[in-house]
Amino acid sequence: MGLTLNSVGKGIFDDKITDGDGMTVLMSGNPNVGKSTLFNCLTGMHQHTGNWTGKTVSLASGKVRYGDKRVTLIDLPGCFSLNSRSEEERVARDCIYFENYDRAVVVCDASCLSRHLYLALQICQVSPNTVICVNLADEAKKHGITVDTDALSKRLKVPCVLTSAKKKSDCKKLISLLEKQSDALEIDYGERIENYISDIYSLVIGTGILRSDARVFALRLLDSDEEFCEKLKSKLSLSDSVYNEAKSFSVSFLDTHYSGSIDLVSDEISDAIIKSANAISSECVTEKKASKKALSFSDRLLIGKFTAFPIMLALLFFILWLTVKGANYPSDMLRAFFNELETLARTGFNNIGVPSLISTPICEGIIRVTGWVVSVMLPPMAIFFPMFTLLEDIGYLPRIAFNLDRCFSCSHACGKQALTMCMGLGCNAAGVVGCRIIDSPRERDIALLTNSFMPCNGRFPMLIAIIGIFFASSGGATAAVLVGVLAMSVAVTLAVSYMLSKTVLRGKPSSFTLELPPFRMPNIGQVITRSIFDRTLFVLGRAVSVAAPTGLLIWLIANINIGNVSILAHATEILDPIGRFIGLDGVILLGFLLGLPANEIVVPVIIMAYTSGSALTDYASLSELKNVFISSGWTAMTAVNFIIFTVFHWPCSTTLLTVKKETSSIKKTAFAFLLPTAVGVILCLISRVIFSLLQ
Amino acid sequence: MLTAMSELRKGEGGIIKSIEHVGNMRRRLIDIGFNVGERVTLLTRAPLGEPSAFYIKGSVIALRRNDASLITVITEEEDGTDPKQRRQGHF
Repeated sequence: MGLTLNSVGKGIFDDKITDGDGMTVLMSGNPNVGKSTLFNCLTGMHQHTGNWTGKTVSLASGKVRYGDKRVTLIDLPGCFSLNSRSEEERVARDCIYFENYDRAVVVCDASCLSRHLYLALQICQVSPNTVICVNLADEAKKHGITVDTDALSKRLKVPCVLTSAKKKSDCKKLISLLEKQSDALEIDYGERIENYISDIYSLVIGTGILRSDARVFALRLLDSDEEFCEKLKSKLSLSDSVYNEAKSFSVSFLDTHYSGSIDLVSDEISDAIIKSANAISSECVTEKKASKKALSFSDRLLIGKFTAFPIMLALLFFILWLTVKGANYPSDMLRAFFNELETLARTGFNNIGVPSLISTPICEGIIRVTGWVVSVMLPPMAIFFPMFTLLEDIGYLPRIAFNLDRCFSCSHACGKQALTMCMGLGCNAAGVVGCRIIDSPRERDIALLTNSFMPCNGRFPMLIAIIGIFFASSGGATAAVLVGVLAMSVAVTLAVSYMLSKTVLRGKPSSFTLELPPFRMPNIGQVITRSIFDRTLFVLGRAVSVAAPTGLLIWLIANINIGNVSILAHATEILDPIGRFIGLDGVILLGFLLGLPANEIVVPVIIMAYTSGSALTDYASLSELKNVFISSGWTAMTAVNFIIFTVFHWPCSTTLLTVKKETSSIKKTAFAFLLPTAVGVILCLISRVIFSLLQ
Repeated sequence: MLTAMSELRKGEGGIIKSIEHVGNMRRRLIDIGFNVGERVTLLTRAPLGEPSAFYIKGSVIALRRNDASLITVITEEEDGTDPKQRRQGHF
């Protein structure tokens, strides 16, 4: 799952398939075969694509018109097989088995058809009216591989089409094939299992069940997944007595022939499918060149022994440097624009006779805070998001996970945690959802609870601003400090993961596989429009919708007095001892508390609180801001601790809600709140001690 | 000769003989192409020594040493070197 309207917005809580009239089509396939790209091409939607396994972890649906027909397309998360029990593949499997749909499209990769046919053959057995789409034909052609889809179609008796998802005409071809109908496929599982299937069929035949459904039911019984079989039972409307009879028959079959080992029987079933997939692919695929079994030049650099880490750091530095440098100018322009807007609004209000009781809160509360959020947040996001998307589309993220895996292995965590951390850099809520790619529940919890240690895009601009004000004069220096901050995030994540593994989430690292996809040239135009419109503007919209009312609120509490002292002063006074204790102050703490819905507003709230009632209300540039901070008692330690606390404090409310949804546990959600807070407090205390020793 | 998949040398290939994983991981490995009789090649190891990247059925899959060691492969060359020595030689 990428960062999209749906993944960072309210859609994050919505997994339901939207039912439309017309035809419903499921798009399934192995991870990373370009399903999402194909889906976007068909529907014109902005479903986020990325070049890594596990990118789409929930459903997306879109509509497309074909002639006078309406087709609802549903993009399933990628899966390798319908037999897997991993959480990640459960969504896709359940949809294939239980949803009401008219057609299932299986997207396969032309360059390694036999591997992909494994899933296709499974789906063809479960659902009639399957269409096989052999995608990435252009990529395969480059490697000298051609696929004869006519032969494939004849062999499987289902419609097949060759596509390159980037070509519109191919998408049309695929849509037109949805007209055709086909039967469910039967695979020969060998005498022993075939006999068993016939026996089950004769047990359930009285219920008027379809032959293909009976076969699926018989095979599924051997898998002994109680919950799944119960669901299948109600879908096929089998009576309790028939179901129980069939179940006990399958148990005794399993005991007699496989001494009760599910592994043995599932091996035999997979073997039959693999053999058949291999046979079909050798009939339909011609390879001109021998397949390449060596690393590409870019891989030798990106995951090479001596080059991997320098390149990783250099890339990170470069992206951050470009973000800092590139954001400066538009930031200043936006700030000037909002200053102008504030003046204009003030004169405007004066001219039409609006009393200052109303105009001042609007100008100094709403416009000023919103202006800060937009001018400081928008430019870095608009640069960082596209760069990040680019890396994602090229396929660099799994390489990062590959390079860093040893560290995670030492922390007894899953190597895929690196992927969820990368997602967290964009948005922690999306990072938390992304944790579904981790199979082991223990390791998933570790990844989920530590995700907010990665500063998200809402916090990045804050860091850039504070580092720029206090520690670095040039863009390069700011980027270098930022790289340091990120390194600290990663180090703390690893350390805390290790501690969790040794205490509350005890356990050994579990097995996992990590796919390193081939590099793909991203569509630059699409990357830019998508990351700006879907991610940047959306995240910004959320920030502004929080900023405007909070700006008003903070202005009100700063200007309404109770007994000669403003409410704000009262509040900060209460928080001040706690703030001072960890090397911050009451105002900063209040800022972070009010920033719970969106971290973007923390700094403007702080500035507003510092400047209210003082002469220093005008801050046209960051250097003038420095004066605001220093005259409010900031020292180097305050700035350092502010940076620490920005990275390590309670996650924003969206992230917390997402944790609640993903874990369905109040306890874990509370822990997700307390853990980073505790880490932040401890680190701030350490830094305070170090600073006092230095003086 | 028989050897654990984790002990392959960089660039060395072998035919998968058996998979000792059980349950979900066994299925996952079979699903992504680690099938008995299939050819697998160790492409490279990660900069920190682990995991290793294997070429299998047209794709590149990384496995940690522990996970790879539970897969046995037959290597073509019968040079008779001791797998333990090879491992030391590699690192």
